Amino acid sequence: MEPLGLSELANNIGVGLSTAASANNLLYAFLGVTLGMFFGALPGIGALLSMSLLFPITFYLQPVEAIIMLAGIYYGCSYGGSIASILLNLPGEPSSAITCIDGYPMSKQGRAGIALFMTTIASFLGASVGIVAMMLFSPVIANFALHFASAEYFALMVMGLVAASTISTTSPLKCLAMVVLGVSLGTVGTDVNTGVVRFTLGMAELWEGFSLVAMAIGMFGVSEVIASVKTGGANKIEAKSITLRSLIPAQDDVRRSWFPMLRGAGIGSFVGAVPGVGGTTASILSYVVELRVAKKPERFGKGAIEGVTAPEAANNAAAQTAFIPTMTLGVPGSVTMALILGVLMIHGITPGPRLVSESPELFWGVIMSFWIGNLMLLILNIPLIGLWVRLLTIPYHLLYPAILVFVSVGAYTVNNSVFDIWFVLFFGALGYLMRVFAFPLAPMLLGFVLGPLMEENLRRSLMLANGDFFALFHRPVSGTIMVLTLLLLIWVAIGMTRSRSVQVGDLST
Amino acid sequence: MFYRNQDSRDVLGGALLGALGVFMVLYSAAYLTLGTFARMQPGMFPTILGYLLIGLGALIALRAALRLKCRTSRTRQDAEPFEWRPFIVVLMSIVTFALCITRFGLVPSIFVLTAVAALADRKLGVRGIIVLAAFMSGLIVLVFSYGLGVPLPLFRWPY
Repeated sequence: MEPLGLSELANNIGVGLSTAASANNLLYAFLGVTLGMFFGALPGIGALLSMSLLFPITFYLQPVEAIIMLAGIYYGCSYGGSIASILLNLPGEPSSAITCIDGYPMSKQGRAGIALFMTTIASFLGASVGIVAMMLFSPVIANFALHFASAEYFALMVMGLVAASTISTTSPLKCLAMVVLGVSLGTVGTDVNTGVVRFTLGMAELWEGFSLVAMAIGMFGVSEVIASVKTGGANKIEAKSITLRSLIPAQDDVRRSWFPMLRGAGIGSFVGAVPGVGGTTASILSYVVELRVAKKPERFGKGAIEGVTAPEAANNAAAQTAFIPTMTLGVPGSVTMALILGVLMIHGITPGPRLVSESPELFWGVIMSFWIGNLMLLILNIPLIGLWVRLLTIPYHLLYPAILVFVSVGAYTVNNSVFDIWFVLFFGALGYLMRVFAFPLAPMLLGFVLGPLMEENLRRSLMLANGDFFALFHRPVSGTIMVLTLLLLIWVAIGMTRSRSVQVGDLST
Repeated sequence: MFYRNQDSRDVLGGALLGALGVFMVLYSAAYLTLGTFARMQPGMFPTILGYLLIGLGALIALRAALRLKCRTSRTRQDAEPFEWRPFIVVLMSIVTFALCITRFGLVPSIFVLTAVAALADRKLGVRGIIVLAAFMSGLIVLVFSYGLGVPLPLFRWPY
């Protein structure tokens, strides 16, 4: 098969477009990106929370529709998050934090409109590059992975989890512990292979295990609300200062931004595909690169347009390529991808190389809908920018009861059972306690989603290798992956022996 | 329990994780068959995980304890404070929703939830509660009942 298979690509694009352009899928793409923009713009609500809140709704949709909508929310949030960064110096999304550095000064100089406009263009460009990368490389990766056996999948999942724990600002030790905790919670319920019930402590409701929905909305919804009630405050900005005319950038701004945007998009595309790193890392990296490359680095931090457009391009590119490992290998690189994986699995679809070849309408339909969604965002952002800006003024004391209503109703509708609400309560309390003890929540969810799969793959590979654990290292692919994982762990261990201060943060890209 | 010092909290947190690990190992040994590596039974994976938790929990607690001992200057008091009021109010609001939904239906439950939740920071007055609850009820009915066809009991009276 030719390396990039261009004629086959054209075929796939056709299949994808016909799926993505259907009336239903267009509607859900539109809903997804609009909600994503909405939640991304609102301070205090990010992609994780919005995806969790709308998770119950996706049960009533077809798998393609569910993915399109959730994905739309996800990358829509990247667009909306930069608004708060520029206007309020408060990131609407963790990955938009870098945009504050040069975006807020631009806003103070009266160039907020230009900043907003250019970030939209940069976001679109970044996303486009990311989607193209996805289109070109997914089939290649999927083809390669067709030869994977359980040993390779197990190794990949272990590496993904370790990478996610070690490449972050939070204490890697705590992240790893949370991953193990998540995997442990995944063992609760009926063991698929033997029918034996584990850890249910007599409760019949736990026979199917904990529900991912309850965990997601409890931990990221309820506990977030508890933590934010005191600190969420009303934000005042002059919404009137953003007119359509003020959006138009000077020619100098555009000229300066081309290469930074392209560089950012490239960096973001690469970084996003690696498990464990995502939009935040991509935007930081891109900013640093621009600093090094710039002829006059002193301009940065005072309103340099490159400091805004490059990270945003990187951020949005990473948001797109994050789908590559998730869809082609079935290994999510971050919590948000774990949610998408969870949705697919709940609908009975196992992402992986077989998905790409056996369900091209799903895979390519989703990719094509990314194009459509990003185009919609471009259109939504430019004329309606004043509307989104006004959203920023919604005070938190109105928002959080609304969030709680959505959480409770959503939990109830999953199975029409009150018991699910108790689950959400449990995870909400647990999530808040974990926050207070400074344990990161995201790795736990990652471990929970991957846990059952990991056990299955480990069991199978050990059975095939007759109990020889080191067989995992003998096989070429899984051996390489396991060695890489070990190197990561060693690198982290060395880092820990030097004195480091523990930072309290969250792994949430 | 909620020490102001983050390192003290870490010691406790690590200890709790280790305890959970011990529970997992013991439970698996008592109630589940372990099997061998070649033929993993339900108890094997949880046992491995249990030992991992014990190890990681111990590491976390030990590192924190060492940090506590080595710090010569006064200890940090910077850990995130446990907000009792929001904690209790938010959880109670969900509890009341859960109790009301089957007895009184969706709309009253939303009103009760909003009312209780508003107690957390007292910025929302009575009129605000009513307006917000009405708005949310309308939105929920629109999205779930009409949009998705989910069967939701709007109003009920059990007596």
